[in-house]
Amino acid sequence: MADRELRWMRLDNAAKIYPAAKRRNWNNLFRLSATLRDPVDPLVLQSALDVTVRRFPSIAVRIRRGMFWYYLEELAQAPKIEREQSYPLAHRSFSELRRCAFRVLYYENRIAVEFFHALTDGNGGLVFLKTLTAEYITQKYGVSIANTDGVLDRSEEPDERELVDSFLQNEGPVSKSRREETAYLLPGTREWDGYLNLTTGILDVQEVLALAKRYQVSLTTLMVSVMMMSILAIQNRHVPNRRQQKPVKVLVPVNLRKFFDSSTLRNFVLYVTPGIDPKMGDYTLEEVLKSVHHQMGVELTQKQMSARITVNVRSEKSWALKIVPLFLKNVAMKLVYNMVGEKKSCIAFSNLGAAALPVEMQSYVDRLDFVLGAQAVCPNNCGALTYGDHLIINFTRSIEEPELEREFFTRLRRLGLSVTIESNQR
Amino acid sequence: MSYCVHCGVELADSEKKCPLCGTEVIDPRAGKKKDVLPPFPPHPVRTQQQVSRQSLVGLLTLIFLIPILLCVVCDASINHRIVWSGYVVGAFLQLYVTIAVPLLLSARPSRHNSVLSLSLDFLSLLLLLKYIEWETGGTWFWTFALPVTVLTAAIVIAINLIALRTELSRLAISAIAVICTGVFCLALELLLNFAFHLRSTIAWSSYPLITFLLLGAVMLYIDRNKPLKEKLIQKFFL
Ligand SMILES: [Zn+2]
Repeated sequence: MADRELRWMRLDNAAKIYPAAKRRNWNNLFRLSATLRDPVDPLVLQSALDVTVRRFPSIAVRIRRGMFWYYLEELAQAPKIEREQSYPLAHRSFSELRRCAFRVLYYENRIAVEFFHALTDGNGGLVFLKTLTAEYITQKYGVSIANTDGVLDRSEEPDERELVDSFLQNEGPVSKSRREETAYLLPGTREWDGYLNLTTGILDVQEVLALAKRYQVSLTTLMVSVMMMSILAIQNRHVPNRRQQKPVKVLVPVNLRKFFDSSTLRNFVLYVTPGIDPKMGDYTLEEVLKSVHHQMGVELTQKQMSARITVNVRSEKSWALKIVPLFLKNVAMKLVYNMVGEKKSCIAFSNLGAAALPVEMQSYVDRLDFVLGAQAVCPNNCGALTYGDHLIINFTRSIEEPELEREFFTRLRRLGLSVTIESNQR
Repeated sequence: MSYCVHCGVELADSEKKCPLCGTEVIDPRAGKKKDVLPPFPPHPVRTQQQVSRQSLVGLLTLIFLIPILLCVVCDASINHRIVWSGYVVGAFLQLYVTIAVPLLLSARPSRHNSVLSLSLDFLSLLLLLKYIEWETGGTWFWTFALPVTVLTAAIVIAINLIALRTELSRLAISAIAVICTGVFCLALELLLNFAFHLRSTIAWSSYPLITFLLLGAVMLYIDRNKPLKEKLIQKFFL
C-alpha cells in the first residue's frame, strides 16, 4: 500500500478540555452500540471497519501531543476489533488513546463503538456507528442500503464540511458566561476495581410521549424532571437538614446542529443545566416539570447558544493562552476542570433523540444503545435514545449502590409507564 | 418475563435478581427457566488481593538487613573487630522480633498470639541485656536485669491474660495495671538495694506504692458502683 498523506486536525473547541481533564484511571468516553438480529461475524466486522474508517478521518484518529496543543492524527489503518469485556467503557489509558482513540467491540449480536470524547459527540458517533453497521450488513447479507438517515457513502471521499470545528464558525457578536452554583454530589461506595455498572431501562416510547403530552412538555423535560425528583428524594434521605441541601441540577447536552447550519462530525454540543433549589421547599412533579420546561425554553435559543459559543471560542483565541506550552496548559485546565468541571450538575441526561435507520437496515437492527461513561467525580451518568418503539435509558455508575436508578425507574412505574430493566450486575 | 415484586419493574430474562433492589426473581410457575445470555460476558471472579504476611515479613527482613550489615561492615573495617555495632545489631534484632513476630502469627489467628509474641519479645530482650553485660564486663545480669525483666514480663503478660480471659471492664483492668505498677516500684527498689548494696530499708518506693494502690482502689470502687460510673461518664465523656 502506498503511503498516503495522513490528515491532522486541531482539537475542536469543546474537545480541548478532555485530554487535559484526564486522570490516572479515568478518561471521558462514551459508547454507542447496535444489537443485530444475528450473532456478529468478527471477520466481516473487521472488513467493514477497514472500509468505514477511510470515510471518517476525524474519528479514526489517535491523539498526539504538539508543543502547544494536542491534535488528532488520522490512523494509517483501522484498529483491530476486540471482543467485549464484562463491563462497558473499561478505562483506556492515555497512551492507548495516543495509539487509537476509539475502539470497536463485538459480543454475541452486538457491535459497539467506544469513543474518546475529544473526537466527536454522540451525534457524530451515531453517524459512525450507523455507517459501520450498514457496511457490515451490506457485506454480510449482500443488501444494498441507501445512504440516508445518517448512513454515509463509504465510497465517497470525506466531506470537508464534516471535519470543521463548527464552534469557530458560529462565533456570535457578544459573549455570555454564566456563574453557576455547586450542585449536590450523589453519595455512594466506589467500586474498588473500576467496574462500571450499567442499568438499562427499556420503555415504550408511545407511552412516554403520551405522558409527556399530558403534561405538555417534551420527553427530555419529563425525564429530566423525574431525575430531579429522584435526586431530591435521595438528598432528603442523606441530608435531612434542608438548610444544608444543595441545588439539584441535571446537565442536558444540546445538539447545536439543530440551531446552526452544520454537518460536522466533530463535537458540536453545548449544554444547559436546569436546576431547582431544595432550600425553597418541597416540590411536586408538576412544579419541577414547569420549572424545567421554562428554564430550557429560556436557554435553548440560537442567540443564547451563540453567545455561549463566543465565550468559549474567545478564550481559545487568546494569545496569552495560545503560547503557553502544553504541559502548563494541562495543569491549568486540570485545575479549572477540578474546580468547576463536574461540580455544576449532579448527573448528565444526554438524549440523542429518535435514531432513524434506512428502511433496508431496520429489520437487521433490533436495538441501539447510547452509554455515557461515568464522570471523574460524579458517580452516575445517563444516556438515552429512541429507536423504533423503544426509549432506551442507560444509567452508568461507578459506585455500588443503584440508589438513583431505583428511585428513577420506580418513579416512572408509579407514573404508569411500563419499564423493563436489564443490567450487567455481577 | 418476570416482575420485581418490590420495584414493580419488569426484568429482562437475563436478570437473576432485580438490579435495582437485589430481590431475587422467584416465579413459582415458570419452572426451570432456560439460561439467557447476559448482556455482557461474565465478570472474571477476582477478589481483592491481600498482601501475604510472608511477603511483608520478607520485605521487612531485607530492610532490616541494610542497617545491620552497614554497621557491622563499617565497625569491622575501622576497628578490625566488632566494637559498637553489636549493640546496634542487637537493638535492630529486638525491633525486628517486636514487629515481625506478630505479623507472622496473625496469619494463624489465635487468642494467645499476643501472649506468645510478648514472651518472645521479653526473651530477646533478656538475650540483648546478657550480651551487653558480657560485652561491657558487668555483673548485673543475674542479680538485677533478669529479675526486673522477668517481673515486668510477668506483670504485662498477666494483665494481657486477664484482659483476654475475663469479662472485667476496661476500668477494672486498668485498676489492676495501676496496682501492679505500685507493687513493681516496691520490687524495683528492693532489687536495686539487693543488687547494688544501696541500703537495707525502703526509701522512695513507698510514695508511688501508696499513690498507685490508692488510685487503683478508687478505680475499682468506681467500677463496682454502676450509678457513680454512669454519672462520671456523663460528666467527663470525651
Ligand atoms: Zn426490585
